[in-house]
Amino acid sequence: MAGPRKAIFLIDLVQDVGVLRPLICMATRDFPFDTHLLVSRTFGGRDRYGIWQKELDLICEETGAKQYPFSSDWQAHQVLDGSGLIVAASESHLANHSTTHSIFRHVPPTFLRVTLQHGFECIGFLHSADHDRAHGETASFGADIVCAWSSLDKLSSMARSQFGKVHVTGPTAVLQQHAAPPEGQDRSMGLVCENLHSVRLSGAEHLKTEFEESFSKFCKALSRSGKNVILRPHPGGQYALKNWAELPGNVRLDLAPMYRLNLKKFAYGISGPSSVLLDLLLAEIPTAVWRDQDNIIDAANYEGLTTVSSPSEWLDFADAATADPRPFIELQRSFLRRQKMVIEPAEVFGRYAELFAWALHADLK
Amino acid sequence: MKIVVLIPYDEYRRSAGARIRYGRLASALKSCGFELRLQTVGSFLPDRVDCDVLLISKCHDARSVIAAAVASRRGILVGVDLFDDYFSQVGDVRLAQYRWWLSELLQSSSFALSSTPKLERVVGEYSSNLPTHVLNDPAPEFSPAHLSEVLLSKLQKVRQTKRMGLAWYGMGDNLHFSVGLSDVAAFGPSLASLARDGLDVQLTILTNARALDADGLSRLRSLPVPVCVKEWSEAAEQEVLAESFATFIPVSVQAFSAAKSLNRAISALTAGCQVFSPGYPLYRRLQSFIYEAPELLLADVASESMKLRPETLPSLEQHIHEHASSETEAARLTRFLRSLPTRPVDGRPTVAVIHGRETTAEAHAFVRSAGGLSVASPFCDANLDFDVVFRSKRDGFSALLSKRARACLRNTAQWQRRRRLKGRSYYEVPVSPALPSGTIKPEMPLPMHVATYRRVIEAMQASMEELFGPCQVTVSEHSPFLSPLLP
Repeated sequence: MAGPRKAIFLIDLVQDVGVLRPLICMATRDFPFDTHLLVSRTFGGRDRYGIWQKELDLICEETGAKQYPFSSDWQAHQVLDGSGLIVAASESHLANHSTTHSIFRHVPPTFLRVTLQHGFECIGFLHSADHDRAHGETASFGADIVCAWSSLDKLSSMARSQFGKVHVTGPTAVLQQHAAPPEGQDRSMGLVCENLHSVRLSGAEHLKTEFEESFSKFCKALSRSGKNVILRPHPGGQYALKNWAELPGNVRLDLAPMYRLNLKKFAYGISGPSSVLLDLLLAEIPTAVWRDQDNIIDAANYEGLTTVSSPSEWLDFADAATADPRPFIELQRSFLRRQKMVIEPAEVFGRYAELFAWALHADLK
Repeated sequence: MKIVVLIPYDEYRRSAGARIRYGRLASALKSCGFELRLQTVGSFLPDRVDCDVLLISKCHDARSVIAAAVASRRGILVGVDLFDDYFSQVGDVRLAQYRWWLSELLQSSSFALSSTPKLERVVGEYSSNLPTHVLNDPAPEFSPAHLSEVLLSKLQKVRQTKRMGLAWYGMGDNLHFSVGLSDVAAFGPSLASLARDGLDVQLTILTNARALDADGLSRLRSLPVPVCVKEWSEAAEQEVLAESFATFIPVSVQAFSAAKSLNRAISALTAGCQVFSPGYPLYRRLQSFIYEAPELLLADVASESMKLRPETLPSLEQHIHEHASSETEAARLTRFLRSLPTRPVDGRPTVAVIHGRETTAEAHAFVRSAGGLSVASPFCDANLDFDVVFRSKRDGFSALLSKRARACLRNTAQWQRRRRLKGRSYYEVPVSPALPSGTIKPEMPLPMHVATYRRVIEAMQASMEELFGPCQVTVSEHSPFLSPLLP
């Protein structure tokens, strides 16, 4: 007699943990899946401080999911018996995604293969100009279903051959948002996110220096009025940690997963073009996109949002956002509406639930 | 008589080839007065080994060529055992190293064994008057009475449960050819015909771990029946064959596949499995037991009249006696070996290995321990204490000789100038054969080595004769792009 349907989640990049976490919870809490996390050997190597392995352990403790490390396709394949669904947060034909893509190539046909869009600008969904230069204008997926944040007409980098796979679900991040902090709590601190490892800055070392210098001058200016800043390096890149000699005295590092950080407590957020901007927008805090002075970095997909370049622009934005966030929030809501992105938590939950329910009952062979 | 089988490494003893071909033969050979043992080439001392016959088994490198040369000089009968065809594909430059190896080895060989008539013909292309013998793979022991019960039980189970277990087992991949799991995928659609009329077919794949990478595993995804994959072991094979109703053994038409032995079909039949083998008729010698079409297999299940059934076991025994009996094969082999002319003992010539662009320290150590000379070509950058180092100059070659090599010089009055190279002392002598113009250095790009390789190797071989007299010289080259065979 066949066992319960399996829900298998592939963990390869450290960013996968945050993206998949809500679905792991759904699979165990709301559906009777026998849930497994297949964790690649390279995940451990990327998890420099062990933060993400601790998160995986916690997730398993909370949900009852089981972890299986693997270092070869054959090792992974041995867990892929039975039927159900298998979900990857980062999968495509590109070399960076070869681990998950390889597994999708050989997982038995009794499993529904699902790839998630893991960021606003994401390979095979929506590219920046730098993505096009580095990886080509489209990508293809080993998945049967790709879960997108926005409707197909906004996915300008989706290859025609992949159209039939698209299921619009919205981002999983909305399923694990924090509540607004209580009234009266201090909300004067700002958040700066760094993603200087990004392909956008490949071959442009001077832009990384420009960001670092602007950030440093911004922090010095804030320190004169006794204000602090949280710096959040990209979990996968951690450029600032690896390359910056020192941080200004009023800067505190935050390396925790995004879902552990209540973004709503911040007065504002600044980031270079990166999917973390969407997290800031969804948290409804004033958000600015950092642009280099010469506008070399492509930020076309973020057109319509507030931009900052020089340290004085950073400071002006921080002051204005703290004084009155409403104009920024309105601008940002308008931006989100234009993206045709599904962002209502109940709606996102329902769309993933639809997929899970189908995988639970379909005749998979 | 003592037979030593030279094998490439210790793990090889546990390979199917060694286990089936030599393991099953050993005790039958003993009854014929022949003692057989396996020895790894790394620890082999050809100038001291105590044996009458040296059989080279898959040692595809210069060490076995040197071993053959030294052993044959001592009057030992040297032969090569071929059971995989890497030698007939003359248009495939990737396999040039195998062809070179075989042609070198046969120069010192008194005979060749092969697992099939096809491979025997391949040897004939290299050496038309070398005595050859087909040594069939012996079958495992089996009891006809027990097999009879197993066959009846398996058929009854299939008819009652409507479930048919199939097995495919063997090496799932090959470095040079699309075989193994590729064959399973290519012929997989034929399984769809089996899984009809309510029959629940499951295929168990038993294969080596190396084949179970993403490419290999993804080939199985499109099979029309459920697949269970397991890593091969001898115990797992026995267990799967005991449980399976039939084996699925597709065969492609490429030379490598068409030269294979009857071994897999025989293993299946003696374990009580029907054999479904679409593709090339490799098992035609067992024709009466082989299904080539799934419909015939199904029809026989329905009529309870399988090709392999208790009534046909005497015929199977007869086939095995003719084509796969360890006693028959041992008797034939010993008769063949006794018929070979003895080899005269020969103190000459010198043996030497010329090291190419990619060589091994093992080849260097082996030729030295066998009393031969280790020679560096201008392509070789290995930091080893060579006996001879050829260095090319604009106007020709010079040879740097170690003290050891200097003592072997034919003409000791030759002009010698002292030199140091990589911290070692050498004596430089000029050599005269014409060379390609321009200096050749190890660090040159590969295409320049490819362009000059054959002429330089030939020039060095001539130089070795000039310096040391008659020489048996072979080349140690592991670069896939370079071979003395290639123009």
